[in-house]
Amino acid sequence: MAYNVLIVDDSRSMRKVIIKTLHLSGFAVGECIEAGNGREALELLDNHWIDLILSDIHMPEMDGFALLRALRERGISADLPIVFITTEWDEARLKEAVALGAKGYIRKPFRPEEIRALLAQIMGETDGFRVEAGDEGCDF
Amino acid sequence: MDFEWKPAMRDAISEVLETMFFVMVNFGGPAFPADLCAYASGISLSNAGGQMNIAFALTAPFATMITANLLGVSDGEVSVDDLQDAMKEMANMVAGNYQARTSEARWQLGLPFVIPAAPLPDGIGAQLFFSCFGEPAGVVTLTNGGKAA
Repeated sequence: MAYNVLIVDDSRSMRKVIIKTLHLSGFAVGECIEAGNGREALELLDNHWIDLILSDIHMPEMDGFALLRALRERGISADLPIVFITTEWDEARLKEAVALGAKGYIRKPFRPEEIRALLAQIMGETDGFRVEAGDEGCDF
Repeated sequence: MDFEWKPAMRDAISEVLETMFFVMVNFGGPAFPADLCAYASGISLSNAGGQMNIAFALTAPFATMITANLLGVSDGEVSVDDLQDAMKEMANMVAGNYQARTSEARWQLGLPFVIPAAPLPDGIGAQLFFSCFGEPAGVVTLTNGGKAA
């Protein structure tokens, strides 16, 4: 099974890096869809099947927390894992994100292994990762 | 800033550049004229006690190299938009990393921005210069509520 991933970050460069990291990690990526902020993400969710959201927190227009709250209001956050990839280091804020329904967070700067490990935990090592790019094939 | 900010800033810059931009820099070399820097970005951090601003100015070759490294492309494929975006992201990551190293106070990160009129003027704040492969690479300037840190 390949997963459609929504990447939400106001930095186009960071979106590219995250997409590249996903592919290199061996994660079973289907379609990668990009949004520049939470509002754009919500619009895309209306028209695309998404299996996983990787989102920044600090963004213009609608930040990651507002996105998370909007997903809760729509009643879809429980079925749709959202992981924050963020420069936020404040533990209280990060715990708040998890309390709101985020499945986890990764701090920037990140190493590809960190993304791989967290996604393996959330999506399942066998389901989420292609066999040929597993422990032996992961080439960072 | 009442604390010694340079060690924390050095560590933050090193971690971000090495992890995301695949480059190592050296600190403590001589200052160089700010007009060597062609691109600049900044970010503000604020809490109940005030605000601090962190600004980066980079030489064109160094800014191009780190952008190319981040995106996994050659130097010639780097556009100005790519470069400015990468510099904003660098400021964002360094600021987050830096504030985590310096204080228990809860700093709220602002959104990073491009400073269009690079280079930064000399002497506006506490500055830390860094180099790469023996060549000037950039300078970070820290100001505290509009004053030198």
